[in-house]
Formats: sequence, C-alpha cells, structure tokens
Amino acid sequence: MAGAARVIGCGRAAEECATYLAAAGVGRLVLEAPLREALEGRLAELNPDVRVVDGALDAIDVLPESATSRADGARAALDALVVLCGATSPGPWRWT
Amino acid sequence: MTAAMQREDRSVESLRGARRVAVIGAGGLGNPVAVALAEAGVALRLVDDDRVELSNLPRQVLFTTADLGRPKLEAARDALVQRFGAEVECVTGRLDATNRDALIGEVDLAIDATDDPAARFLVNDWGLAKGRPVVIGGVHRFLGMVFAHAGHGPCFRCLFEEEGPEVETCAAGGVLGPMAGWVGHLMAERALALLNGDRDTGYLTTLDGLRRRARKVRLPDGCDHAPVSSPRKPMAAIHIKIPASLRKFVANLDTVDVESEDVRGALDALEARHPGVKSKLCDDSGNVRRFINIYANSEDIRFLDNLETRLVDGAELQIVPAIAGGWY
Repeated sequence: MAGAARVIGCGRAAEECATYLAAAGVGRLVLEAPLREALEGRLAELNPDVRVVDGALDAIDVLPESATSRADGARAALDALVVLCGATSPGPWRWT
Repeated sequence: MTAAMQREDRSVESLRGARRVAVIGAGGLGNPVAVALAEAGVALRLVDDDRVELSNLPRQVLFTTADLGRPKLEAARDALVQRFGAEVECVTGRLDATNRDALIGEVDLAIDATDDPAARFLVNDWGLAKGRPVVIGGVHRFLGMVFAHAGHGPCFRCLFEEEGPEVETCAAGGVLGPMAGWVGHLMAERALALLNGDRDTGYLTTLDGLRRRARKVRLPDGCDHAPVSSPRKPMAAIHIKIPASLRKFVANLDTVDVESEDVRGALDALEARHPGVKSKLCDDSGNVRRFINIYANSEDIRFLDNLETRLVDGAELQIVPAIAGGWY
C-alpha cells in the first residue's frame, strides 16, 4: 500500500496500532523514537515490505484513544486503514 | 519494550499465575486474545490444529514470515514466551462434541476464538455445564461481535438457538486485520473482567468498523438451556489462604481462588493449578499431614467432616502449618 501513517505515542496502544498497520501492508510508518527502537525489528519480520521512516509528508496521523489499551490501538489502526483505503471519512464512533 | 510500556506493566501484574484460560483457536482472534491475557499474567491453554500460512500474516500478528509452515501453537507459544514470559500449554486438536472437555481442560474460563460456528456452541455449553464463564467472539469483513456468560444464562443459545445451515466463515468472506485485532482485544478485556469477578454479562456487543458504530444489546434475563446441558450446578467459589511458608509453591500468591463443593475438591483444584503443592499438605494416602491444620471458615476440618467437609460459595480455607522448633 502506498499510504503512510504516523503513529502517535509509545505505549501499548501505539505498539498494537503500528503492528496492525504494518501487518495490513501500510507502506511507510512514522514512529516515535522509543517505539521505533522497540518495534522496528519485529515489524520487518512481520512484513518485510513495510518501511519505518523518519517522516512522510503524506502521512495521516493516528492517535489511539487511550495510550495503554491495545484494543484502542487496534481500533485506531482500523480507522486509519479505512481512511487510507478511501472507504469513508473519519468521524466519531457512535456507541448505543 | 518502551519505557512507557514498563510503566504500564504495574497495572497488569495482579493476575500473574493466578488464573488459567483456554483459548480455542490461535488465529486472527486468538492472537490478540493470547497477547492481552499473557501480558496480564494469565496462564494459557492454547488449542489449535493449524499451521501458519502467508495469508494469515495480515491479521495474525504474533506470527512472522519465519513462522510460515510451522504449527500455529508452536509459533504462538514461542512469541508469547519471548515477549511476556508467558506460561503456555499447547493442545493440538480441533474442538468437537467428542473431545470438548478434554481439549478445554480444567481452566477458569474458556474463550472461543475460532472461525467455526459449531465451536461457539460447544464452548457455550461447556461453560453452562461447568458453571464457568466463557467469552465468544466473531469477526467477518468489517463486522464483529463479542458475547460472554458467567457460567449461567443468558447464554449464546439464547441468542442463536442452534448453528445455521450456511454460515460464511471469515476465511471465505475476508476480514480486515485490525478489525480482528480490535475484537480479539475486546474479548480479552471481557475475559479479564470476568476473572476479576465482574458478573455483568447477558449482553451482546456488535461492532461495525465501516459505519463506526458499536451497539450493546442486552438479552432478557433467564435461560432454559443450562438445565438441559448442565447436570451439575455451578460449584462454589472458595478462597484458599496460603501461609507464607508455602507461597513459593503457588507463584507467591497469598490467596488462590478455586471452585469446589468440598475441601478435597478444593485441594485437588489447587494442585491442578499449582502442581506439587498438594504433597506439602497431604501424605501419600491423601490424608492431611499431621503438622498441617486446615480451617474452613475458621473451623478446624478435623472437627467437621475432614476432607469431605462441604463448602459454601465464598468460603475461606485457611492453611496453617504447625510451627516447629523450641520456645526461643
């Protein structure tokens, strides 16, 4: 996938978000330094086609709702993927 | 692990070594479920019979390209041990009506993380039969669902009476990787809440990742499926207080919670969870050692029915070893 995403944060949510984005094939990921150091090797093993880069002008920002929840990290990755695929515009989640 | 994650670690230590959970399926849902539970310190019993394929990698993030062709159980266990120091038991097999109890085993909670509608009913019925909580999840394209019961109804059969004749699996219909991740983590959160005593069940959570909607649908109280599939009533929850001298045999816990109807069953359940500890309490013929005193709700079981002493829900078993040595 040609798209790029900048994952904001260094906690578990950010880790999970980056992992699912890499697995799904988002081509370029921008990660904060501590997370990049912790995760770069594993992401390369997960998907050798993904590049972790210092910056990308076309990257969308991805901010999980909480820093510590892996569920929120995966959901943020889902939202980002939907946007990158052009399926919908980002909007608030509705819980009923 | 980043410094931020190390700080977060403090919040997930409380369950370490105290609970055992069967995760049926080590795929798109089983991966995140296993990650979250292992990180919380839950001992895992993984059940699967599949091997890692290239098409799995976009949603099964415990696996890497180096794992292609390996049994999923082995690859998952290696990753969980390496990342979290997890306790993982691997059981190769595919759940069916003939092997249900053997594959799920003696666990505190079971999770259906398969892509097999029949397995959901099997796990649901296991929970009703044992009086133990279960979590059931499903994901398909952009849709997901999470359901749980606490060992009694409303149960999954209250939602769906039986397996439909034609159900498209996620392997056939496709699924977005992060959707499986999200649903799997929500399943794990439900499981951890149940293990911590939350009994707010009886509702279905549905998720629509494309329309960005989540709904909580509560079922009416009552369930007529438990008596049919449950010849046994749910067992009593027993709190076993462990003395300091024996804690090294039970992962340094001061209390171990088990389910049983009598003292003998409680000690057996303790042994199942922490193999070797019972030999410190009982001799070769199964009787309580002379230098060990066991109190059921503050009463010495020697003056009750000994190991056959019946226990009620919430009872406390206190183990008190005799102190050896002189006066000073």
